[in-house]
This record gives sequence, structure tokens and C-alpha cells, in this order.
Amino acid sequence: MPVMIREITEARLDLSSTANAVDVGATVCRTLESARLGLDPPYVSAHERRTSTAAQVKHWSAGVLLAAGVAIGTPTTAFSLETPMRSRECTMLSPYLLPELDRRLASVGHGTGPYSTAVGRQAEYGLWRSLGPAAAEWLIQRLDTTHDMATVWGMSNILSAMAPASVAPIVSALEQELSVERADALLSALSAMDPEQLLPQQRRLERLLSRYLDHDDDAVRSKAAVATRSLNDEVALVLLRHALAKEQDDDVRDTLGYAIQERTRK
Amino acid sequence: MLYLRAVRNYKKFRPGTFDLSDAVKGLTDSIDRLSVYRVENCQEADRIITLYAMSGKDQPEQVDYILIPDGALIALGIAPAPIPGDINHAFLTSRHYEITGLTDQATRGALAVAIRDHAETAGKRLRPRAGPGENDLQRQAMAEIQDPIHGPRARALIEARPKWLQLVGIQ
Repeated sequence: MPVMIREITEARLDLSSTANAVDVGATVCRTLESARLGLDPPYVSAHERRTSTAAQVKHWSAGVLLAAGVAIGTPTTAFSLETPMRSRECTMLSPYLLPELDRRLASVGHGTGPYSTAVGRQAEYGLWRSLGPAAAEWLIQRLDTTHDMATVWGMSNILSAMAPASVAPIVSALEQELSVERADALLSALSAMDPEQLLPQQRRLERLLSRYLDHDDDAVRSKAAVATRSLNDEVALVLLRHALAKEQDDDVRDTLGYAIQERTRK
Repeated sequence: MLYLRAVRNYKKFRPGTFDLSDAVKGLTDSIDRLSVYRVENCQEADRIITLYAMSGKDQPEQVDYILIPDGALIALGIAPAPIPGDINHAFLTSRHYEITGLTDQATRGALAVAIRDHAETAGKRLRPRAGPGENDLQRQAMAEIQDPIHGPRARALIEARPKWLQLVGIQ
């Protein structure tokens, strides 16, 4: 890994022009391909290097550098990206990277983009994973301004695929007072994760799912019922039975009943 | 004629549980376009929301939709236009429409109220599994992948999505 850092830093990361950014991009590509940092090499080299404008190249180069930085546990600033922090929650995200993340998010929920094929989805999920918890926090924040369901579903898919990096940001967010849109999408992401990845958060999950099973919004209560699959049988059954005893909504009662049936059938 | 719109919670459009703020959010896409699907009846609505979920969700879970009557749109001077959808499924793409002209919150609010006031457009929540006599994602998705014409495309939508494959009994 030190070799990679030296190679990248020696490339003199001047992203002020297209030519320089292309050089940086090429260096990073070669380095990542040799280091195999979880970014699919053909995807990096063939798909992303098709970017054509100066801004695209610059943003992409910065994004890949950040991914590399996160992957090797080196702060972004080591790559001289001059990163004023956008917010306390997104301390690892370079401002250069944000337009790139926006661009990627724009293709979520569309039937023709990379998310429309199994190979494309896995490549995209790999990249998001490589960006770590900061990218999960950024996605969680964006849920409040996204209302198109296909896009919300896509963001929830990404957050789930980012586990375990996304687990702590999701749990922390759910512990706060959230909009119903965010709560809904985050509970979906949790319920799609492998329960093994959630084991370290069992106590926190128990507390927060108990709260969401009592939420004002019936769709959120249903999602919370499904998300109890992240808990062990004993705890989940206590929560589900308690919720069923007081639930008035038929849809939610059906979901609770099915979740209980799933647990007791084992 | 009815237009299907996927929403977070269809009950926010119903009398008694109507919530204007939530309903307006459900009628918001980009600045002035709303993506919808034309349906002839409730059976087609279940079919379309299932295919839509198969194309967008990595795991099967509850999906909600509302049905917008064209009368409500006409009253607001809005005419949906057929725009081929981008999901690779012939039936789904042929039913895709876009509504333009929803440029402000007031218009979206007026449409939300009109949807609430049309009794035949209550909307629905489809769960992965439901009791006997009630349609669910499992039954509908199995019917889609067994469709002699569109089945292969429906199956391709859930390629490498193990939880969907498990739901329809492929894995």
C-alpha cells in the first residue's frame, strides 16, 4: 500500500486542467488496477474513463482518489485534494466528489443505467462501499429531498449493499427524529441486510425498532415489523407480539402476523 | 382511464387518513414531470406495480400505489403524454406516461385533493405475501415470470436478486 500512496502523491495532483486531471486519472487507474482495491478494474478503466469534459474528469479523479484513500485508511488530505469540510457529518467527502456522487445518484432508479443490470449494480455497489460511512451519511441526508419511489428504493438498496459500513450511520440516524421518508427507507435498508452484520448493534436496534413499531405512520410501522428480522428470535417475538396486541391497522396487523409466523415456524 | 403512481403510503391519499403534505410529496418527481403508468383496471395495476418493484427493489417488500383518474387531471388542464419508459420490459414501457404541468405545490395539492375525492381511486398496498384470496407480490411475480411472452424479461429484472428468486421459488 505505501507504494500506491507514493505513486499517487508523486503524480502531483494538480486537477486544475483537463490534461492534468486525465493524467491523474490514468495514474490512479493503473494504481488501483494493480492494487485491486475492490473497484472492478474493467469498470474503472473502461466505463469511467469515457468521461469527456474537464469537470467530469476532475470530479471522477477526485472521487477515485477518495475511494482509494478510504480503502487504505489514509485521510483524503494526504492526496492534497484541499478538502474544506462540507458538513460535520460528511468529513471524509471531498467537495470535488459531491458532484460525482450526484451524477451517480441521478442514474439510480432508471432502467437504462448501470443499476439496470446485475453486473452494473455490483460494480456500483462496490464503489459506494469503497467510499465508506461518509458516503452512507451523505445518502441518508439526500433521502429527505428524494420523493420518486424508484430512486428511494435504489438508495435503500445501496445503503443495504454498503453494510457493514452503512450500519452505524443508519442506526444513528434512526435514533434521531426523522422524516417518515427517511425512516421508511432506512428501515427497508436494515431489513435487507444480513442479520449477522447487525449483531454488534442488537441493543440499539431493539430500542429503536420498539420505538418505530409505535410510529404514527402505518407504513413505517410495517417496515419496522419487517426489520425485526435483524433481531434474535426471542427479542423479536416480544416486540412483535406487543405491537400486534395494540395495532389497529389491518395492513400492519397482517405484516406483524406474518413476521411472528416466520419466527415461530423455525 | 387511470394512471398508476408508486407512492410511499397510499393511505395519505384517502379520506380519513389524508395528509396533504405527504400526498404532495408523493406527486413530486423532477421539477415539472411526474412518471405514471396507464392502467385499465385494478388487475393491471397490481401487475404494473409488481414489475416496477421487481425492477427497482433488491428485496421484495411492501409497495404502495395510487390510481389517478384522468378526470382529475382534465379538471386541472393536465394531459399525460405517452413516453416510452426506460425499464426493459415491453408491457411496462408501453404503459409509461409523463404528466407535465405540475409546476407548483398548489397544483400538486389540488391534484392530491382530487385523488382523495375520487372514491374509485383508493390505491393499494401489495405485500410480499398475503392471505388466501388476496393478491400479493409472490403470486403476481410468479405470474409475470410464467408469462409466455414477457416472462423472460420479467425474470431478467430479478437476475442476481436472491430474495426475489427465493420468493418466486427459483432458488
